Amino acid sequence: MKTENTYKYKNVMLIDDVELDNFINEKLIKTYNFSKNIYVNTSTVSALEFLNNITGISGEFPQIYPEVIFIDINMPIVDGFQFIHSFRQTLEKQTKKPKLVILTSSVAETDREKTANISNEIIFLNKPLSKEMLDSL
Amino acid sequence: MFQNKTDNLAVVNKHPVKSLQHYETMLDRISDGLLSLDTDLRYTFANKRIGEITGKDPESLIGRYIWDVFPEVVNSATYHAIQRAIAEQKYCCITDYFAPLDLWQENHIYPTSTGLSIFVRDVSEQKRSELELIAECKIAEAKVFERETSFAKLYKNLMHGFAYYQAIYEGEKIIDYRYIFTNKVYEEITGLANVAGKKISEALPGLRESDPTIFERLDRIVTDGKPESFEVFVEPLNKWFFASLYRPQPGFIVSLVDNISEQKLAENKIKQSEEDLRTIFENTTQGLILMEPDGTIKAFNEKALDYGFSAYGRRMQTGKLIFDFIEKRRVNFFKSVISKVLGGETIQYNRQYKKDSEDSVWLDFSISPVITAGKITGVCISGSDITEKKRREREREFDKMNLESLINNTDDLMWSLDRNFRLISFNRPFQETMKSITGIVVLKDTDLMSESFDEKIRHRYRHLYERAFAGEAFTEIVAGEKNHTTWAEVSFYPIYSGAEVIGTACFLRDITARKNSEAQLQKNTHERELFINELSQNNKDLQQFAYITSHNLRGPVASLLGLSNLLSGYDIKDQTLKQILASMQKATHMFDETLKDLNTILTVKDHVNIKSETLLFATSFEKTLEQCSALIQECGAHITYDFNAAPGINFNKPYLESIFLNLMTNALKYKDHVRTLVVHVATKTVKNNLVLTFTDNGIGMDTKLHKDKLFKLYQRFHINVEGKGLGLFLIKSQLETFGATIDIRSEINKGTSFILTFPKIQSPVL
Repeated sequence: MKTENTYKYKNVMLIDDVELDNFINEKLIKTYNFSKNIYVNTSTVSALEFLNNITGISGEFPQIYPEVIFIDINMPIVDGFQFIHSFRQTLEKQTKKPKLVILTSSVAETDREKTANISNEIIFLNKPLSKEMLDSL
Repeated sequence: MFQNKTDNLAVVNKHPVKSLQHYETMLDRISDGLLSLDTDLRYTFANKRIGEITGKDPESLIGRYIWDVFPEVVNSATYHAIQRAIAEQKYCCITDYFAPLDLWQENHIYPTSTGLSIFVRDVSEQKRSELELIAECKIAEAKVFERETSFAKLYKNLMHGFAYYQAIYEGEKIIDYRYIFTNKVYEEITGLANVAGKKISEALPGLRESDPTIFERLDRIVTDGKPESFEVFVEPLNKWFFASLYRPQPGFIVSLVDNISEQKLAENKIKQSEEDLRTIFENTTQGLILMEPDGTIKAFNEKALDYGFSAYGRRMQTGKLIFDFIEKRRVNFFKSVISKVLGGETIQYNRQYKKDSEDSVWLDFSISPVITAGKITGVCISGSDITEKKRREREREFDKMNLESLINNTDDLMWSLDRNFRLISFNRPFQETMKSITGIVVLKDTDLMSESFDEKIRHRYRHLYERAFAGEAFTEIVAGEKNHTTWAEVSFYPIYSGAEVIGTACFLRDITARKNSEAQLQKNTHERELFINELSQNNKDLQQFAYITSHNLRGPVASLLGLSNLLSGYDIKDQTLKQILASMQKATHMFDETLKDLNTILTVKDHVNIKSETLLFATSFEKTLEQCSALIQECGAHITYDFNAAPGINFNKPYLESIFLNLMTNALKYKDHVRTLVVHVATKTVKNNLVLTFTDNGIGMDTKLHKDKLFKLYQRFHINVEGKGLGLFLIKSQLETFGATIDIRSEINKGTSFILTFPKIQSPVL
């Protein structure tokens, strides 16, 4: 393990229903010391619940709130776009803004455009995640 | 005693002694008898002539009372004249018959200061001839009367007045005429009674002044002895007379007169009405020509002259033959017309005449006989200009013909019928159609409900006709009579007479073609809709496929790629394993690229959201050069471009970049291993299109062999070069989205040219 000082971020969150991708991304983030802590969620519902829970205490412990959230698009029940919509409507206003990153295997232009239409603050990345991508964040 | 104005007699008395005898001798020699009486009517003087007239010695009379000498004269006209002359002291003249001596005397009685002087003229001779004349006249009158009586049967109402005048001379000059005798008829017709002995100027005062010619005429007759007959208006009587005058003997005139005032009045009336007629004759809008049965022109009016000019160009003249004024070739025709008219017919015809340099004129002629007292005495031609009428008629006729031809030449059936279902009118198509359906030739009054027609048709149409008879105007679409493959649109319109429907007008139009085309259209529309739905479905499937590709298929590939990324963090000692893992990584990358290409193609095909913008070729191409800079530098390729002729285009930016990239990578892939790669890109305008050529000097290919497959998906033509066979297909797809095309010219070992043609409309004005 490397020293704390070398981590780029303290906390990041991964939301992807594909566990293999979560595994790959977690490994990659750890390999390149991108973040000290990684909150992994396999559904948007549990992710929202978690974020809701920590919002209440993040005032006292701002260090636990994720600074980067990686979100897949194609997920059951609430997809990536719907998650972003809910997040921006409620939680985002109460906390300090995390970076929202869409990380998807979709190469469809429409998805990229849709992302751009929501906000240009949202970053769109195609899987697989690479060292170069992490460096750019 | 003597007044100086008195006569010679007074002078005699004034100078009695010496000159008396001289005067007496003188007085004795005058042809008239002369006597003078004193206030007591006693003779104071009588000349010799008195003695001759009276047969008494003048000397013996002196001092004797006149009425003692001539007691038989008392109460005669002379006696009264003498009394009046004394009483009124006025000159008096009297003609009297002195019976004892059988004498006609003319006594001139002059009152004098001493009594009376009387000149006595013996007029017996004169008087006797007068009386003879009167007798003669009486005989003449009797003769006239006799003649009158004999002609009375012919001239019942004609009566002659008879008058006998004597001219009164003053020297050689006739100064007046004296009535000697008038008959009863004369008195009746003139209203003059007892005019015998009176002068005309007395009986008819003012006559001379009103018409001096009457006296001139009388003077002429008296002088020349030539009888004259004439009509004369006698103003003092306000009457018209017809007078026949002759001179029975010098100095006398016999006048036979008729009162013709009534005839004259009637004549004047006739004249007046003649004038009226003349006015009408001249002013009528009709041209009128009157002529004798032989064709001699008697009269014509101005209008006829106009028509004469219009028709024949020659001026008509009375007294000439009408045939001289008509066209020679029409003379015989005209003569035949005249002969018919003389037979009592009235001939009417109209004819067109050409006027010089003007439009032709239509004249309507009516040629009729002139009948006088039941006999045909002439011919009247009346002509009127009917050019305007004719023109209107022709227009109407034309309209009518037009309408008729329209009605008969239409494909529509038209007919009308009365309430008894009898045909009133119909057009030819109706008749023809009825014949072809029923075999019956319908005519006016044909009963359309007759049993000879098909019962079904009758039943159907009876119902429709009855609706129209009830006042409804409507249109029905009915199936054809023969079978149900034909369709007709039938309209019914009630025909009204006042408020009552007396029949119906029907119009039938074959709408089979319309129906069919409607049905066809519906069918076509339906088919098209189905096709569109199918296409849309296909499109959706395609989109779904694209989605599946990009998400579901790409997901695992992305995971594999992620895993291979993880592997790069490990140091693998086993060389064989390392090689296997590297190959797996390579295969995964190729898989990923193929997926991405496929996705691109699917995105192009689903070109709903493809935007276009104004692009500069140079910008896009330079970006491509940058992307390929490593490869270009590696092979030392020589690349040139010239977009000046057509610098820009309206196109989709990623597509244009993709096209350039694909063309460039192709050129780099298929370059000749010996020759240095040379690429030239240029644009130009050809006709209305923008043409981009991309030329290299690469290995080339046999386009004859491959052309049809060249731009298809996953076609590869070179075995010694890596490639997936997607590039050209992708280029073609992207170009086609904007209506552009791609063509290829290539020769093996020489090189390849790609020719891209963009419709000019895509090119902005730069």
